[in-house]
Amino acid sequence: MKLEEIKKKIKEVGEKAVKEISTISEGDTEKLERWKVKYLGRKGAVNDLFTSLSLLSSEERKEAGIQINALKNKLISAYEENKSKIESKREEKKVNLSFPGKPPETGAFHPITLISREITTIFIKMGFGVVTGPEIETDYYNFGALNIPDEHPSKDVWDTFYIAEKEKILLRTHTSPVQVRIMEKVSPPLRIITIGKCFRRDDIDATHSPVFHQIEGLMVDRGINFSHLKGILTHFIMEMFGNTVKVKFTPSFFPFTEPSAEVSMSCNICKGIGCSTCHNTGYIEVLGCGMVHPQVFRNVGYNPDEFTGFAFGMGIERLAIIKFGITDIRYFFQNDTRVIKQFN
Amino acid sequence: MRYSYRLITEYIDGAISSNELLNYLEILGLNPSVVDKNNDDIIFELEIPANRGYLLSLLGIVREVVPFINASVKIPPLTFEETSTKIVPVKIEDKNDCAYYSCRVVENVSVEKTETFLKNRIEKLGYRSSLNVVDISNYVMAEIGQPLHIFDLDKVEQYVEVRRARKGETLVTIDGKKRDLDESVMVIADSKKIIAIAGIMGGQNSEVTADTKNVLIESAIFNPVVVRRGSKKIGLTTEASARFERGISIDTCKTGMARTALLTSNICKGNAGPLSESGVKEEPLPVIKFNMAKVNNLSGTEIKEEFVIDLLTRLNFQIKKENGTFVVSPPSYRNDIKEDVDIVEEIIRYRQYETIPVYLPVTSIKPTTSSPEVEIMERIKDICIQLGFTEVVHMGLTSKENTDFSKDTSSIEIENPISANLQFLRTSLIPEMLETIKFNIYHGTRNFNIFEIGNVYYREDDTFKEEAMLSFISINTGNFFNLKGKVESLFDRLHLKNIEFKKENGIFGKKNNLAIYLNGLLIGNIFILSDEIKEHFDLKKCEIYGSELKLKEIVEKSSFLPVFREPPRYPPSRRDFSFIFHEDIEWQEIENTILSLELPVEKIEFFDVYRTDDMPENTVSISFSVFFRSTTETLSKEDVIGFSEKVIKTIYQKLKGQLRGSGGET
Repeated sequence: MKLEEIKKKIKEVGEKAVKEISTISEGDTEKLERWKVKYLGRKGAVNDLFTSLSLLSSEERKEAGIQINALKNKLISAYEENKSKIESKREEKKVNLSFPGKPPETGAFHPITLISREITTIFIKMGFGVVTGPEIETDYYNFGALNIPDEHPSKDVWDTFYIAEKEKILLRTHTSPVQVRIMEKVSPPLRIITIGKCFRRDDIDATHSPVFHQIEGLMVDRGINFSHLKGILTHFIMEMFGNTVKVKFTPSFFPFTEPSAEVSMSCNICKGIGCSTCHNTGYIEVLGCGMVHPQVFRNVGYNPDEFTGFAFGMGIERLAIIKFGITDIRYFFQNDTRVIKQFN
Repeated sequence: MRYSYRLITEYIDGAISSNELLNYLEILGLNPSVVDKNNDDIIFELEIPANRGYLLSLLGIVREVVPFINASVKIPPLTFEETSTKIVPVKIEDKNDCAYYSCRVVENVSVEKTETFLKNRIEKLGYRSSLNVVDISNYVMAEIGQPLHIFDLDKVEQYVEVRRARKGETLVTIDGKKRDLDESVMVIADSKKIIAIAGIMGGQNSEVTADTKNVLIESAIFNPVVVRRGSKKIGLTTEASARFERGISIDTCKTGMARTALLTSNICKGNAGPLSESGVKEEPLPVIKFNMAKVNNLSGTEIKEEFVIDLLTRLNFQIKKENGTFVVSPPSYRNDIKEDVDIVEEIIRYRQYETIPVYLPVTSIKPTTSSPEVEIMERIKDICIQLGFTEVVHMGLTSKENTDFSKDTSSIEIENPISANLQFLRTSLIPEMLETIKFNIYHGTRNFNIFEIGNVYYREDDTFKEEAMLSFISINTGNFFNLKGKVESLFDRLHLKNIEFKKENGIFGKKNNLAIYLNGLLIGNIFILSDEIKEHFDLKKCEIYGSELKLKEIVEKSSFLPVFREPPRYPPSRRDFSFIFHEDIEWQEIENTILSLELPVEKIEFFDVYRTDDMPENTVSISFSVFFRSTTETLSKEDVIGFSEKVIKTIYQKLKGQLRGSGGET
C-alpha cells in the first residue's frame, strides 16, 4: 500500500465517522458505545489504520502516524462531547434498594486463637513476654526437670504418647517444659507465657481430647510470694470474665510447685447458684498454679534461696468452653465453619 | 476408697459435725463429693493427691482434720496376747526391693461369714463383705493405711521368701487369672512355690477359705517402684498396690500388723504367735530446718509463730527451736514433707489459702520480650483472615493413609496410640484439612476458604523434626488464579521479594503444581488438587485449590517496616497488547522479555487469555497492559509508540508472539 492510499483511507474513515456520530440522537448511549467500538475499539477502524502502517517506510510511517493520531484525537473528542451531552440529559435511575446486601467473603479466627489472644493481651500488659517451645519433647524436659518422679503415681495424670520410649522421646503432655527451657537460657528476673498444643492419651469424649492447647505462665524474681500469685491470677480472671466473678484458691498438688493451688471462679453460667456445668458447687475450676518448687530452680541453675517465683497453667479449650458456653470439646477440632464464624 | 463420717468420728476424741468435716476437707483441697447420705451416716469420696498416700485411710483423714478442732486422735487398741509360739521364718532376697517384712501366725481361727458389725463397716468403705479374715485385712487397710495379706498357713511350706520371679514362672491369683511373671515382678514364695505377687495380689494356692484353720498375716514395706513396675507388667492395679506405690512407713506397717493380729485373735477367736520379721526395723525421721522469715516471705503474709508451733504439734511433728530456726521432723507417715516449702504449704493450707492477701507484685516494669516469631505468626494470621480465609485447627494426629501422601518424608509413628486413625504425626496439613472440607460440605457449607498454621513432623536420620507450616485451601470459590493472587498478596504484604513460581511435580496437584521459591529456596507449593486425591476424600464434585508453605523462611525474611517511596510525579501511559503464542508459553517469559528491554516500564498487567477456533492449533491469545512511566519527564506519544514497537518486535523475535492488536490510552 502506498502512503497516498492510506492518507485517503484516513480521510474516508474520518468523514464516515463524523457523519455517523452526527446521526446518533441525544441520549442513545447504546448507539454511541457501538460507534466507539467500531472506530476506536481494539479492533476498530483507527487501529486498523495503525496496523497498516507496518507496510510503509519509516519516513512515511511517521507522516501517516501523525495523521492517524490526529484523527483518533478528533474522534475521541467527538465521542466525549456527545457523551457529556447525554449524561447531562440523563435522568437518574431509580433502584429498588430493598434486596438483601451481598456479604463480603470474610475469614474468621478459630476460637482457640481468639481466646489465646485475649489471654496473651492481658499478660503482655503486665510485662509478660510470649515464648514458644517444641511439641516433641524429651522425658527430661516433660517430667524429670519438673521434679516429676519417674515411676510414681504422681506421673499418672500425664498419660503420655511416646514416639520412641526407649530413647525417652514423647509428645509433650503440658506446656511446662517451656518453663524449663527458658530458665535454662535466661537468668532471672523473668515473666513469660507460652501457648501451645499438648498431647495426652485420653480417649475422646465431651470433655477430653488427646490433643488440646495449654497456656503456661511463669514469673521469677526476688521476693515473689504466694500473695502475688493470687494477685496476678485474680487480676487475670477478672479481666477475662468480668470483675464480678469470685475467685477461689484451694490447695492442690503438682510436683513442680510447692505450695500448689487450684483456682476456681464462681460459675458464670448459673452465677454461683449451682448447675450441671459446675456440678452444683457454684464454682468451676479454671487453672492450676503454685510457687515454683525449689528443685525445679536447682535443675535449671537458679538459686532458690535468692529467687522465688510462681507458675500457672490452664487449658485454652476449657477457658473457651467457660467463656463461650461451648458444650463439647470436640467442636474445637471438628472445624465446622458455621461454628467458627460464630465467635468472630 | 470411700470414707464414712460415722467411722471417722470413732477415731476422734471430741465432737465434729459432718458439715464441719466436709468443710475442713474442702479447705484442705481434698474436694469431697458425697456419694451416699442417710440419717445415720454420710459416705463420701475424696481426691487424694498422689503425694499424700497417708490419706488413703480413716486414721489419715482424722489426723488431717483434728488440727482444726480442739480434739485429739483416738488410736484404736493394738495390744493382744500371744498365745501361740509358732513362727514362720522370713527371708528377703534384696533389701532394696523389700525394706521390711513381717508375718505372724494365728492358729485355730474360726473362718466364717463376717458378722454384721464388721460387715457394715466394710460395706460403708466400699468393699464387698466376704470371710471374716479377709474383711479384717481390708478393714485394717482402710483404717490404718497398711495393705495386708493373709495366707492359709497350712498351704505355706516351711518359710516365706521375698524375691523376684524368674522368667517363665506363673501364678494364679485369687481373682482366678493366670499371671505370667518375670524378673521385673516381686513375689512371695515358700520353699516350693510362689504364693503371692508382692504388694499386688495373693495366689489362689494359699488363699484363705471357709476350711482354713490357721492363718499367716503378712505386713511389709515393698519398694514403690518395684510394685509399680510389677503392676504395669501384669496389668493389675489394686488397693494394695496403689498404697505401696505411694510409700508406706515402718510405723504404719507395724501398727497394721498389730491391729490385724488383735482383730483376728478377737473376731476369729485365734491364738496369735510371735512376730517373725526381717529388714530395717526403724527408720530415722528426716530433719528439716526453716524459720519464720521463710514462711512469711513465701506466703506473702504475716503468720504468727504460735500458730505454726501449735499446728505442727497437732500434726505430730517433732519441733525444736535453735537460734531462731525451727528444726522439725514430720511423723513417719508424712513422706510428702521433704523440705521447708512443704512445711510452708502445710502452714498456709491450715491458715487457709483464702486468708492470704491478694497483692500485685511491685517490680521493675522492664517487660520480658517476646520471641520475634510469635508476633509475625499472629500478623500472618491477621492477613489470612483479611484475605477471606477461615482458620481451622487440627489435632495433627492422623492415620497412616494420610501420611502416605508425602512420600518424601518419613513419618513418625506413635508407639502407644489410642486408635489407628490417630497413630501417626501429620506430614502435611492438607489431608486433615480435606477431611474438614468433606465434613463441611456434608453439612451444607459449599463455598469457603480455610487456612491452618501448625506443625508437621518427620524423621530425619535419627532425629525427630517438627516444622511450622501455613496451608490454604479454596473450595468452590473462584479459580486457581484467585488463590494464587491471595498467596501473592500475602507475600506482598510480608514484603517478601524474590518469590518465584516454577512448574514442578507436587504431591497434591499431580498435573498442576507450582513450586514456590523464596530467594532460591523451596518454601512450598500451590496446586490444583488432583482428581485422584479428590476422589479419595470423596470431593470429586468440588473445585479445590491449595497451597502449603514452610513458615520458617517466610518468618525470617518477612518485614513489617514499610519503606517510603516518593509517588510518581509524571503520568503513566498504558498500552494494551494481544499476542498469539504457543499454548505452553510461560507468563514469566513474556514479563522477563519485556523487562529485559530496559524501557521505563512501571508494571505489566495480565488481563486475558483465550482461544477461538479461527486461531492456529495449540495457540492462545494473551492480552496484557504495559504501563510506561518515566520518573523524570512526561512521556510523549511518540516515545510510547516507539516503546510499543520495541515490545512488539522483541516478543515476535524471542517468543514467536504474533501481534493480534494493540492500543491504549496515553
